[in-house]
Amino acid sequence: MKINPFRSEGRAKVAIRHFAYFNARVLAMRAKLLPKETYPKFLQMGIPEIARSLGESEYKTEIEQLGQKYRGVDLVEYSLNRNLATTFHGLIEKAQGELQSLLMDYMRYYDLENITTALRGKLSGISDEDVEEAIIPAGSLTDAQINKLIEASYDDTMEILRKMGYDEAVDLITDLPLPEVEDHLIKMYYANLLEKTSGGSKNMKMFHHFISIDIDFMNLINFLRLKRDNTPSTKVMEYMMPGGAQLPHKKLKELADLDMEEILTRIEGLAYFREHQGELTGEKDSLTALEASLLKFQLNYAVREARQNPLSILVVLSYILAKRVEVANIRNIVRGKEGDLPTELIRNQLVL
Amino acid sequence: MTDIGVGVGLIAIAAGLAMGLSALAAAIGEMAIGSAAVGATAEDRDMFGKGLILTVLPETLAIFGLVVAVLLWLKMP
Amino acid sequence: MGLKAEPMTRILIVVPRDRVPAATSALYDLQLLHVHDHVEGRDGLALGHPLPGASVASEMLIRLRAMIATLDISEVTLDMRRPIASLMEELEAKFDHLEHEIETLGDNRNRLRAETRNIEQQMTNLEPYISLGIDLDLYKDYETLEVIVGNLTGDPWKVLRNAKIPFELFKAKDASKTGLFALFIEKDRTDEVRAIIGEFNFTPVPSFEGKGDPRTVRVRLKEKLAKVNSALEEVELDLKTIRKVHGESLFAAEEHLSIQVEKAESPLRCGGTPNALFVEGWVPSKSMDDLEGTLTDAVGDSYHIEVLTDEELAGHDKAAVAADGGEPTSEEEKEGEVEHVDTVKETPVLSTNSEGFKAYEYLIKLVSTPRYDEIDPTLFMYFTFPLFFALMVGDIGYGIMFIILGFWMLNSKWKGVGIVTGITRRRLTKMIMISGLFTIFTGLMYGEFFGIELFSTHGVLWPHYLYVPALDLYLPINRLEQAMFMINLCIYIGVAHILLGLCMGIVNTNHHHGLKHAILGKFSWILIVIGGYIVFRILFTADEVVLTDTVMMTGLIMMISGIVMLIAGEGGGGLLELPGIVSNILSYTRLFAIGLSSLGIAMTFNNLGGIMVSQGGAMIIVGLIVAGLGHFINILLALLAPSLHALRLHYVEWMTKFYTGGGKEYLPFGRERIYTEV
Repeated sequence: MKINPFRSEGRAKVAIRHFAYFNARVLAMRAKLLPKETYPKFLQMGIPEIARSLGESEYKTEIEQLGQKYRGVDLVEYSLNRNLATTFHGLIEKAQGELQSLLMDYMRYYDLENITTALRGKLSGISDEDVEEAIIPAGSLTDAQINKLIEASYDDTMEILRKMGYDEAVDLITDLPLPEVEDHLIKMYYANLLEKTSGGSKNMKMFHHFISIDIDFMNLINFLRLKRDNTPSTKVMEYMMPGGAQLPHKKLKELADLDMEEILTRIEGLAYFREHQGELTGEKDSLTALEASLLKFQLNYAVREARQNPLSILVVLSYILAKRVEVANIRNIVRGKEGDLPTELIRNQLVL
Repeated sequence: MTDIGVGVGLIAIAAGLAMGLSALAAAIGEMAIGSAAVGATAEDRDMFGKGLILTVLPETLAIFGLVVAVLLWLKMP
Repeated sequence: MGLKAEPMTRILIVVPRDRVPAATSALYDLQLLHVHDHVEGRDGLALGHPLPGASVASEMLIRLRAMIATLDISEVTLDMRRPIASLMEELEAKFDHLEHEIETLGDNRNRLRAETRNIEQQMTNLEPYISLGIDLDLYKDYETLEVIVGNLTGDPWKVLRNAKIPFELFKAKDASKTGLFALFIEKDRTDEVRAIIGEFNFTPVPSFEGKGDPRTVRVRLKEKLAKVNSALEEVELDLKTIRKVHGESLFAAEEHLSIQVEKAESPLRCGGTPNALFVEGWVPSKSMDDLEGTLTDAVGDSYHIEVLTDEELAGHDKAAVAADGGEPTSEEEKEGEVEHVDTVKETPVLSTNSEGFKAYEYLIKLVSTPRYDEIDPTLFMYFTFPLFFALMVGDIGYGIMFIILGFWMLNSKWKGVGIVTGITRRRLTKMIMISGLFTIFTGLMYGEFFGIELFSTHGVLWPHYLYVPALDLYLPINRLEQAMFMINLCIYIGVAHILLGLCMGIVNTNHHHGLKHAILGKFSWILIVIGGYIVFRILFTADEVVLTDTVMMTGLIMMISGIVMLIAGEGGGGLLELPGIVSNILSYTRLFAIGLSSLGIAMTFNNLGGIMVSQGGAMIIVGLIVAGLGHFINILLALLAPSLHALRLHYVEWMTKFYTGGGKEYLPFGRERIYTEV
């Protein structure tokens, strides 16, 4: 029997009253996300102050558990990763049927991240402990499985991965560099999500839609990065994920031959930016700010769609996105402070 | 058993329907609100009071049904 | 008294940089200033910087809190408050050592707990193999054989035999219940067999790593578990000892360090320039002198304080608009007005209700805190809430029970659960007792005692009516027989209550938007409610409707002029709200309907108990118990449903007529030291 590492079963349709219950919980959780006034304050604080301040918020448990063992950036990063994992596992536990299986599969993204982190550790000789800190155990792999992956020798890892069902990835890894394998895995992950949700219930369709928007924004960011590095357009297209909602392959191909200026004008014509003409073109030379603002548009778009469908899967998906953004923001602040970056530079990376 | 007559019987049925159907409608309304209230309370205990009150909002339907039923009942000889 | 919030003064304090620590510390200890959090960039000011020391204290605080979490201390009771100097000195001396000790113990505890869980899991996994009874070695390491262990329902063995698949089957002792089995087959036919048993709800049992008799394995696991558990107990004991010796001082130190950090980080809530800190906020007007005195004591006269009036704030804004190049037109006047409303909205609210009203204030705050400039409805609710509650329950017996319950809650040792603890519990108790008192009165009005009629036609005490000629009313009111009267009474109450709400609406709207809005938006509704009531009353009750009748004419004129004013104020859309007010008023019939259901339950249990008692013998006791239990349940229900519905009438039907809410609670900067002293 072949194992598909990307897919869980569970197709039972979810009753409206479950959505009422589940989404109410999600909305209550969303209300506890850090308010945006927090970030300017964090920017003024030292790392221990940020850690302490997080310890007074939803990150209390993690900061308390790790506060004796870790200090400074490590404490914050480790707490963020753990909190993200417990939060997402909590969501999966609370959900039922189809909703649960969709969330589970969506979270498998972290499986891929963790596997590549473990592999990268082995290839570049990073210590097991440092690898462990970069792990976000939010996916379907158990702590024991992840630990095995980290501790095993390279050959054993391949064997473990085969057992998990990642045959294709293992076959690729002998010929290709790791980033390309990673890219390939992510493509498989998205292709699988799209395939699973094509057709089916209303929520399946909404999930499908959400994923294709996700793909759009991921493509956009990769696209702009590649263009900035003057990658030839055929090469750019190799990295693009098929299945975007408003930027299908054909459209991206058209864009690939244009110059940056024109690309940005074209992008602004997409529905995501319709109500905010002119806001995207703020700083063309620095992609950091541009990427942050793209992420902000994706988040706003997701939140708006969730508001229009309050009893759908979109509510939890927009929360997941918002939570990821929060964690990324805090991480960027702390890392920036650790690297003594000027405040303005850190601020540019934040999605506010 | 005394013969109560068709008219009175119909009034009784009408009263029953007024009560029963409106209670059903209220129940359907309360189903989703109640689930949401429980969900919100699970995350935040302070929501208990608000949730409880929101849950009884559709009960007005049942109460209107009861009042109509009582008015019909008063019409019975 | 109670209707208005405590007057607040908005102030701006500017402190030179070198005096910031002293000034913020003084303000913190004073606990009077409600800080208006600075948003970066407002008035061209950046955020202030935390004072030096915040980071070091934070670092220590993180470690301290981690220790407290490991020790699992949630509260301590101190005999006396600790002086901070000696406390911190003592802590410094033992900190590193103690931290190491606690960390090691905590790690051990986690490891042992994980081990316990692991062993317990193994024991659960072993369970099926014990019922199967075969040695564990026999399940694995075959060249050509495959072993399938699991549960299923039905009988697939016949199918296997028919398919000519050779197999050997072991069933568990209790297989008829669990369907547990172990199946030995040839390896190359595994897929075939799995497909067949898959049809019979097959669920596999996780395999078990081990050797020998499963029962011996279980004994060994049990021994191991006992060993781990005793080790765990030892660790817990060590932690408990540490908790006993050091817990109090750790907890007290946490408080002191938290206060230090809060003080050091206070500039983050204010605007700042490299040379000065701009603290903006509100103080209760009566405490202005207090505040200034404290500041002067702390930093001399190096600070600058300024009272910001609404006019100034609005004018400041207008000036800013004018400076932008626009001419001050009427539109900007309006903007100034909006700004005025905004400053009012931001003003913190400190209610002036005395302790007796606090429970009802809490009920209002469940919706939202009243705004600074609006009427606090608590006072009205103090009377109408128990009144509505009592009209629904209306039973002398239940009223007495509520009061007894209240006394019990006041005097018992029970601490309460969840949010119903401490001061909330005491307030809730008072509320129940007041409602009980009202319930006795309405009970007298209805002549009911535990669902039994005391007076009137079937009255057991006094089978007579009391006639009140002035009202053309018989007392007591039998709720079942005088249903029509009760419905009418409810509608009277509804109209009166909604009119009260609308009158309060006039006052509030006049405050927020001016008299014109108040008249068009609220007074119009008063006319509609009164006029409409007159018209409908005549339409439904009079034998013959004469339009030219003076009463009818007055009603019609009031209603129509009300509608005209409404359209003038809110446009045609206002008409859509007309059916709403009808359903609002009819909604008050719940005062009768909910009571009816409560009465119905009480009477049912009385009848049930009565029938049993009438059979005599042991049934008398059973009957009494049944009736008693029924009333007990009904009293609990009576506490819940009528209070919820009384609340709903206030929230939905009444408060929507006048309430804006969204006020900010007055939360002065600073906190009381509980465990430490300076």
